[in-house]
Amino acid sequence: MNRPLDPLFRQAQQDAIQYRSGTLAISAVPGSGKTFTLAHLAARLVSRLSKSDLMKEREILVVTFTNSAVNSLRRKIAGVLQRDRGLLPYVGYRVRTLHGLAHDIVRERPTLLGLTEDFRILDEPTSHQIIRELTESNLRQYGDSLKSFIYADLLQDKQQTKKILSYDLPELTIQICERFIKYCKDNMMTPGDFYANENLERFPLAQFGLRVYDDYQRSLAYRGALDFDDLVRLALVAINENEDFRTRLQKRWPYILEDEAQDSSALQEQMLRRLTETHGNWVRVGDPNQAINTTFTTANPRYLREFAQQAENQIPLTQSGRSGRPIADLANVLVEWAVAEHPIHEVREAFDYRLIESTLPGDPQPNPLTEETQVYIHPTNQPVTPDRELTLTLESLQRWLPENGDKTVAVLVPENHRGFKLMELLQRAYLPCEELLRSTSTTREVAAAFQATLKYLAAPLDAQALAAVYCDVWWGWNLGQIKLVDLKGEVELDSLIEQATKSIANYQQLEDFLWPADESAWISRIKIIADYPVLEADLIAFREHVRHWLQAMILPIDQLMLTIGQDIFRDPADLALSHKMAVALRATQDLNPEWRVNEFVAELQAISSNERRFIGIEDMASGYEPRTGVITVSTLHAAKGLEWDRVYLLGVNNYSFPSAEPGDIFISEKWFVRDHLNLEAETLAQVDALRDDTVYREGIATGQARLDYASERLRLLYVGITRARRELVILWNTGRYSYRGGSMVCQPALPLTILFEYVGGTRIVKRPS
Amino acid sequence: MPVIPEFNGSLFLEGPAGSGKTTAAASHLLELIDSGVNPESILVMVPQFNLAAPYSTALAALDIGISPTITTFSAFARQLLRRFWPVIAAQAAPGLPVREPVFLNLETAQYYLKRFVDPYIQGGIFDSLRVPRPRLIAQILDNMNKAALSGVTLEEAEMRLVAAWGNRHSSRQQIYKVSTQIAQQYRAFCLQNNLLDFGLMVELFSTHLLGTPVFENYFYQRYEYFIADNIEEMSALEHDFVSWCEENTRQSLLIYDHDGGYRAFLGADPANGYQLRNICDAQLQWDQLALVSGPIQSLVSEVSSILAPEYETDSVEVPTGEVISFSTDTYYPQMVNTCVEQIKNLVRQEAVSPSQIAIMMPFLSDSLRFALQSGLETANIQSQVYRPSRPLITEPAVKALMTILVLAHPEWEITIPVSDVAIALSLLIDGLDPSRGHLLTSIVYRKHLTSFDEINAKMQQRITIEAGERYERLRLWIYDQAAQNVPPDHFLSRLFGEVLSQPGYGFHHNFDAARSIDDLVRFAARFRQTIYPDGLEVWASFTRELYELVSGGLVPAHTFDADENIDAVLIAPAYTFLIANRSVDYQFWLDAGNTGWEERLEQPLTHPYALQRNYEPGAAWTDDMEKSVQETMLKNIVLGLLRRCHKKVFVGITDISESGYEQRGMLLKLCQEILSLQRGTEA
Repeated sequence: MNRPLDPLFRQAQQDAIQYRSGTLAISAVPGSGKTFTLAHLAARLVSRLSKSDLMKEREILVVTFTNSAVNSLRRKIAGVLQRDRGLLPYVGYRVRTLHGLAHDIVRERPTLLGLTEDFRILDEPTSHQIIRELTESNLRQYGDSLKSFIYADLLQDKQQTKKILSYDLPELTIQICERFIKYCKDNMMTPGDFYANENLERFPLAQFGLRVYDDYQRSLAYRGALDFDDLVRLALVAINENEDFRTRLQKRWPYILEDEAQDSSALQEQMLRRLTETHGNWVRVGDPNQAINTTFTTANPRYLREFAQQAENQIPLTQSGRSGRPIADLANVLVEWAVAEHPIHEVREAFDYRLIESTLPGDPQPNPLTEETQVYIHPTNQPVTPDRELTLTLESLQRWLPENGDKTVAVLVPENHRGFKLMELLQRAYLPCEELLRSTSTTREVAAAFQATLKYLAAPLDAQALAAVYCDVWWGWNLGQIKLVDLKGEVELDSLIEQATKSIANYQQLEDFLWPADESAWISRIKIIADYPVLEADLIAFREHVRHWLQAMILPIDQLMLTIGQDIFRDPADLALSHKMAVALRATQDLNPEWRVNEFVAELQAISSNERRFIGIEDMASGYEPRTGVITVSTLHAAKGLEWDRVYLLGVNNYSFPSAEPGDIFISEKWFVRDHLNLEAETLAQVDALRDDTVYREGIATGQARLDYASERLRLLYVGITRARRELVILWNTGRYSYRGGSMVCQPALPLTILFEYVGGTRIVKRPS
Repeated sequence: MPVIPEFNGSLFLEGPAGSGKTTAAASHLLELIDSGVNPESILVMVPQFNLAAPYSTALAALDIGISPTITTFSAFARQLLRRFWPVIAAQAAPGLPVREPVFLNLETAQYYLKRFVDPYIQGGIFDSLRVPRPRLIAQILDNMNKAALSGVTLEEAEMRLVAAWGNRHSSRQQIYKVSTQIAQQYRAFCLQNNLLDFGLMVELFSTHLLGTPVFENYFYQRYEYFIADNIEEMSALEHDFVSWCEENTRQSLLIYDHDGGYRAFLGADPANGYQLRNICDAQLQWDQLALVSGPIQSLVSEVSSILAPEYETDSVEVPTGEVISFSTDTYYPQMVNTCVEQIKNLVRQEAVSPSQIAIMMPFLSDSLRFALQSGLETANIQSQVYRPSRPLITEPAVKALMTILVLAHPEWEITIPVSDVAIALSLLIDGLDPSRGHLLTSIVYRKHLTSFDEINAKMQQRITIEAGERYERLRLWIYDQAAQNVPPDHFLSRLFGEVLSQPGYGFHHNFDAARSIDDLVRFAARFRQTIYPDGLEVWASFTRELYELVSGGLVPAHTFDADENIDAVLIAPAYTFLIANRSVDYQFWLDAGNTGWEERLEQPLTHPYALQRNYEPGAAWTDDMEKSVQETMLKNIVLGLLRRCHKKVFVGITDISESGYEQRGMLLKLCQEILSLQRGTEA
């Protein structure tokens, strides 16, 4: 490690990039460039392997936590390979989530696992739907066994009882069953493992979960399908039980790099340990202080700590150039306070005591200047309602954005629904914004566009269907020819489109519109053209396209779809998807030569409503990149790995960030469940008791879950703070939550009061001993 | 250009493609004739007819009245079986009719085989395979042909396939068994009905004609000189015959291409062919590439050093960066655009003739073909596709005519959807746009077409009187001709000539349609002559059989050899290009990440290697064997292409495949290594 320092890197980063072999733990503080370092390391290893024997098919395997992280890592590695090393961008390595890796492994040799070669994988919505149905049917039969968990007095009230039994309890039970199944799979437990257990009768929660689990597995078998968690389990079985196969994979991946290792589950740890056991070349990068996916999973930052203790090499990346000093200080204060002073002793272990250091002068990735950095915390003694909190944010953005169009900004919320509300406000105020809240599905949108178009083409005289194409496809995909300036403010565009759509839908003798014998006649029949002449050119252009598509109807389905797709889609990813659908439907047509457009419409309907899984292109779409001048609205979880110049953290109260103090309300403790029990936690505790044959005492797991949750939320707050480069604004609200008929007013989160005092200079944080 | 030295007896000439072997052999042929050898005593054998072109071209320049026999094994066998049929019929299978047999081509063989396959398809036996029917039939036939070409029985072929599949739990064993049963039933039927398909024909030739006194007499009197070119593309049975000829002619020249064997899926057995080297009296090896540029030669060396380290290659001195370029796009359609742009540049900026450009890919799907051709068309650049086995029914004109056939025969009781009729009528009748076509059809079409005159006046106005009159003329013509009981080829040909090519109808001035219909009519005529050489009293049921064959996708569009004289960009799967043995200045390798460059096409019912003669019977086909075959395939294909490229290769890569997955093909890794060598990146 004596190489001269590359001006691109700081010393610790360069040390990491020069890694040669063995186990290496890289613990990194936020913004220390860990992904950047990992990408360069991966590229260096890829380039080394590219000179070796072609036929050995060796690759660098990179494992990370989320799909978006996969995409952004891939893009980074590709960039380094192509730009810095002159190689092909996507060759010689693979980046996967644990599930993606498991999928690769299982798909390579399904027969090893007794699977047919065309086994199916259920996507999450489908598997959720199955569990929902099975839970509901089991509740009808065995629901009484769960009634003992409901407050007895609530069951006296007929109306309350009805609401609880028909809505609240089923929803909770579905969640419990999902947790149960996932937990069992993560722990490699099959339904059969439980039945022999004579104690089962004593654990009503586990017993109920088991029933659903058993039914669920049978339902999967009946469909010849697996779910995502099966994939991981089976991949592990395949490599554990087949030495040849394991050896082959070990040879294929002579180096394994792991990002976000603090979120690794027990199974991921096991799998990667197995895959690296012959060569030992395993690099794990992570930050235990950013472990925010531990609740009810087998993930635990402990694994990373233990790995680091035993690793042959350790490189801490402690310098971070991301945030200005005041923001980094705030994050450090949070760690210091939690470790030394958190009132609940157990929560003091939420963090490793590790502080973010500033970069040294001359650093290639320097911190923003201190004088340009600002922290604002809404006073903890000035309660605001949730609505007011959103308005304050909006007003602040309205002031800030016009002068800072060259900067990036995000509003981070604890839950999706707050984000949706804010999006509405922002849009109404015409502020440029985009959300990272739900995953939109381009697959569905593209399939829906085809579906609408083909549906019309199958019935060329159906005016309603043509109107749908005009509204949903022509304007839905922005092919319309009317510009806002043309309207001169006389009419809203939406309203004009709506009127034109209606005119088409009511058009008699559609052939006169499509191929008019007399050009003037068709115009006079669409009366609003008289009021808005701009519409004429738009409708003519639309008609041209429709004619073109109708004439293409004689072509085989793939060529018809390519013709339509070329006209509708502009974005390369959409075009790629449409190409893929065209190829897939052509294959279907070859197998079913009697199929006509109507059957394909049904097939597209299945794709667009997600019955038919159509993985691929959109999973590969590039990760999110904040844009300047556009407000990002995101949950805190989805913001992981990203950074903005200015960040708003909303809703930092004791409901979203409880501290396990008396009086805190926990999201997993339902209002109708007696004794504040966290039934999910209690269920899993019963599973543990059954598996390990240990004593189960009601309530212990609930208590532990509070501590775990409080710790994780502290880390989540830390993640939120460290997303900001120059400006950080933290708000809290009194969010009213109804609880057993009464309502509860939230307080500022305890850590927020500490930070507020610190910023105001009224608090000195003790250094932990 | 190198020259073949004088030799006596037999000479085995080997070398890579592009080393000038065939050119030299053609000169050798001319010299023989020049030296007074009777051209008729020369037999030239090639694995497929288009490979004979260099010989025919050379002879054409000579302008002699009589010429040598230039043929393929199967054509030669067919010709001699015809000639000696009475002899064979008597001794081969007593009871065989003495009448000359009917030789089946691929389509007519499939036609008969289909009868035996259909009941099993309906019984669900093949459901687990998810293979379209035409391909199922083709693969069963393929097994029979491959077995014949390796000289193994159907039963042994089945045994080999089962063994190759191994112990994996699957329905596959059962499927192999059923396929053999089907093959046996079909074979029995063929023998009973005096029909000879390819497999039967070569089997009869080898077992019952070759080596008989009558055949030997004939051969000795006729042939003294023998040239066999591209023996690496021939099957074991063909090698047997080559070997026989070598032994029984005065002089023979056997030519073997290194790194070939592209017809493995058609039974080629290059390893077996190489053994012929040992029977020859002399051996000669040429290694220099005669036609390709210096940098391309360096690239060949570079690639050889990676893919075939066993070869001794010259050290690479000329930089190769100029002759191979890589472009990476994220998505498949972007790659198509990039390719079109690059071709546009070549043609516009560098004045390259389109015929010197070939676009290749491992598989050419209809979708890709369509995308490429539309792109080039928009850029005003002509292209031609060389791809055998595209179903004729995918041609719009043919599809419309099939609809008309059904309409002409309501007694078949086939219901076609209104939309099909509407689309066909709109295509066939000028001035009948798709919306009016739909309107008209919804009124006049029930089981058959009713008269336009019976429609109420308002509707007639909507459809337009002009289009209506054309419809009426077409309708009357159809029913009139249908009543006349003519063979379907006549019906179709007249329909085109008398109506559809006339003004007012859709194929007036539509040359694409004319070509497709010509294909269809020719096929129908050939089919009729094969199946019913003596004619029939009523043609309707035969017409229906034709309809089912065509609409079932069993009839391929005319497989033409890409015409080198047309100034058009050639689009072809890499294998097809290689088998055609062409070379061009510029090659585009699209979809470089596809594993299809090294993986063979999935053909669940058959197996090119397990059915090769020297495959160990009873052995399971292992992963390692597959891997090793893949390495060979990649090596052969890449070296083969480079040796057929004079100036530059453009490699098109996508991050994400056509189906949306990351690309992992071996060609990608090869490209990475080439780049790595070129850039001398960090070790």
